[in-house]
Amino acid sequence: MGCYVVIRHLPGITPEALTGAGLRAKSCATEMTEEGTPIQWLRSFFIPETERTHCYFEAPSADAVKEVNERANIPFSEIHEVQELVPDAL
Amino acid sequence: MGLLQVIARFDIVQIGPLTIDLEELGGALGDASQDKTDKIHNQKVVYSSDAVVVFERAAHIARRDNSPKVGLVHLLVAFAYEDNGLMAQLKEKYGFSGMEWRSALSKWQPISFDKGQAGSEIGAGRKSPMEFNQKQFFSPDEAAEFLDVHTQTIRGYIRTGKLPALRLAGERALRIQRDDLLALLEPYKPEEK
Repeated sequence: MGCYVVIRHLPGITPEALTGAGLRAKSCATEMTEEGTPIQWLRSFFIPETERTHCYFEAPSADAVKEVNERANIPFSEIHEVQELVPDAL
Repeated sequence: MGLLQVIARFDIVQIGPLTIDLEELGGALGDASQDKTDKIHNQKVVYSSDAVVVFERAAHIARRDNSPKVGLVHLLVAFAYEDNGLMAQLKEKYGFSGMEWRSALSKWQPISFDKGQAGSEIGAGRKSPMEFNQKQFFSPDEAAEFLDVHTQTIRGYIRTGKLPALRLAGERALRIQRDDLLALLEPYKPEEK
């Protein structure tokens, strides 16, 4: 399992639309996990100044992350595997 | 349909004065519904732009409701505005308007949306063994929890007569006796080689 970031540019997005997208991501991740592809939406950060979000997923592959976002109908521009650094581990 | 199945008891959805029979509804939807179900199981399902609108509407309703989370009831209310698909069929078949649907939901006690999801909080609302030890009669949900099986399994046992159930006089609610639940359990005998 790897950690992936999904970068989106969502100009003019409303708080409701962000919440709706989060709900869809959550339900599609559940659906894919039940189907045998374990995937989890970890958390997202929305940067109001740039209207971009960075959404983090734990998944077996970048393709799985792509699929969950397509199923949830949430636009994205980039998907990258990331290396996680946490203060407690250092 | 998925949302309705989550809140159904024995294929019956009871929201205030509205009673929806999912089995009958499924039959009325006929082959088209079956095709759709097959499609859902065999193909990647993508949320349509209509569904995106419903989710946003639910988020808006939850916000207006000062709710920190978008609940099942918010999603159900969001569907009140739909005049297509299943909601259109429900409105036609049961003769209610979007307003009546919202009104019925406002008087209904919903279950948390999260509780129905992927089991991240499974067990959070569970009863302690002590509470179960004192009970003589169980609702189907409690019976399922007691035996650690799915409610659908209990429903199946009741339907096929494997598990006796009692009906509260004049009510839809079913109760199962503790002894009948225990009688379902039998010693495991390893197969002889």
